Amino acid sequence: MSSRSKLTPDRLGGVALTFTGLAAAALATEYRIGTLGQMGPGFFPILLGLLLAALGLKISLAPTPTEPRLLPRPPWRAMVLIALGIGLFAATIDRLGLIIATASMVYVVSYADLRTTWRSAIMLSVTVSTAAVFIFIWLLDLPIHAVWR
Amino acid sequence: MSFLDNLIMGFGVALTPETLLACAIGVTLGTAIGVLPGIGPIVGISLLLPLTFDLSPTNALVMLAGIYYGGLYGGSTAAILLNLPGTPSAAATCLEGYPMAKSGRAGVALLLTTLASFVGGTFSIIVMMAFSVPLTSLALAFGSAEYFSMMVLGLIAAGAISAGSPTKGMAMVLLGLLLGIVGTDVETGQFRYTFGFMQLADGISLVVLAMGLFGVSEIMFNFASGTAKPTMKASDITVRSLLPSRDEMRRSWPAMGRGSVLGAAIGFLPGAGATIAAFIAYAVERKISTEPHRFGKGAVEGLTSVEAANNSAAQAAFIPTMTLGIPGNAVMALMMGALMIHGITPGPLIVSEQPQLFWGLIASFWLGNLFLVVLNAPLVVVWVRLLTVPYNVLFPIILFLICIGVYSINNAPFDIVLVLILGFVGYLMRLADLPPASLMLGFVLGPLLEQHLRRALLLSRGDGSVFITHPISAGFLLMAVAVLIWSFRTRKRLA
Repeated sequence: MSSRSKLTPDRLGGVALTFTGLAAAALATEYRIGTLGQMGPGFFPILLGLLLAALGLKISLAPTPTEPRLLPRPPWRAMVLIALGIGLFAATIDRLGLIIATASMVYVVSYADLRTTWRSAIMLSVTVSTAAVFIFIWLLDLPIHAVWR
Repeated sequence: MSFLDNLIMGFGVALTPETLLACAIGVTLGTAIGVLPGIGPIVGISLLLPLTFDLSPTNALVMLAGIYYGGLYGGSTAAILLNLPGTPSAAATCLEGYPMAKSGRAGVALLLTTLASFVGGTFSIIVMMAFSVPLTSLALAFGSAEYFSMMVLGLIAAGAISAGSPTKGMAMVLLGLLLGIVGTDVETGQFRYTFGFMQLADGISLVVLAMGLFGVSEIMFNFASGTAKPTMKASDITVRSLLPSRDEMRRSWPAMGRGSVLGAAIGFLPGAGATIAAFIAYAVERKISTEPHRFGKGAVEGLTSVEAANNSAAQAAFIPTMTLGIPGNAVMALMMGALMIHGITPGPLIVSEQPQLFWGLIASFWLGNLFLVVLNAPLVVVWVRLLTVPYNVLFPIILFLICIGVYSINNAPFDIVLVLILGFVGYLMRLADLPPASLMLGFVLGPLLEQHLRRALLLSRGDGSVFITHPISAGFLLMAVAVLIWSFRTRKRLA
């Protein structure tokens, strides 16, 4: 296998950027392009998109270094739990209030770390949500509900 | 108004109790943020930005600026004691600071760091005071063509110099420019890249972008590298024998001078910043030293020059941000965003229209540096204690602060989801070694760049030669080309 065809993070990044650039340029053709003297909203993004696609291509075609960095194993557990926790916060903050949103979010993301026990997760979630109410509602008076409405 | 009058007015503003308090809170929080690995000044400033909405613009800016240079100071503390650079610029501090600490000179290193930071900061503040007014009058003569070309220079410098690979840096600048387009086109009202989400009509919030790319992705990355940041032991660090020897002082003074001058010159350039200044200062010290073999084993001049340079550069970076409205790095981009949130447009008029804010801020820098000397020297032990907070307690708290910080801007759950998505994007960018700081700068300058490009070409009736026929504009573009060629050539030589 030639060193040129190795799937390095660099190469993947370059390909992703090329696609992003092309997609951006393609989407921008929906907007009016105009002329150089009377530029429409499409002109600048199309230009940027094509430039980005070109640079992405250059990155993806660069020769692989002799010792290419390998793709590390993605931290699936942490990623899923962080996404779930933040998602929970976003879903509950408007309707169920700060306490429930914070407590559930902190509880869920805590398990991203393998050292977390159910006891420590509950402790942290209670502490953080109590502090949150105290700091953000009482002290800073942010327009956020503490509980459901 | 004379120089002295401005100075007196500035101190008049900075010495009011509220501003003094804002400054003290800023530098103290900043130091804490700098010490903790995983929250750099960008995340720190983004986190605290929503909390400054109730303050006056001056106090808000004084506090945020305090977080920035306080953060640099804290970053050095962690670098010296534990070889952990809390901020990118502190990576150069590790080189001599940590060997000094290992040989039992931690106290000396910390004291000299404080002193060097103060000297560097003070030097740069004097330069700022002297140069911002003449620079402002120059900037008033700028038209759209000049602004456009200057921003092109800044963006190319940011992309080409700061990152490892100039191609990647430039690609990130372009991606940032594209992200800056999201929202409503100011001139035609056209929605661009909003994908039908009304929440995107005003564009992506700078805070959301910064917290996603820097905050959330950093946490994911820490889990990826499997280390999940070890727990620190503070027990073996004592701050004994604080006083440097006569020989160490003799070596330090000239190094601080060199670092200060270098830092001010580099910090002033768009696209450069404290990190680059620190590394260049280190390289210079090593080059001119008569005993280069001492370097890497705790050479005190390598520490003081670096510290003077990074602080000097950090302060000098405010000059282009405030007077030209062109931020030189990602932190300055956030500062500019903060100003705009408070209804103030940075630019040449800021000095004449908001003299209280401008001179008050500069005076507060000096007071802030003084605070750092007085407050932090005795607090070193406390900062080291901070490092003993285990990561499995720290990261949920950081994530919570990100969520609440983002939500408090618009009370929009949509922004929280966006921060998560950007966190994943930032994680992938890190894997591919794509620099997020270049992206941030492109994002902030994008709307301005497009606006000036359109306006310049409108005035010239579509004649693209305006950028070359205007001498100042042509000069900027020439410099941009030179930077581009230089960066690719040095890259080749290194490879």
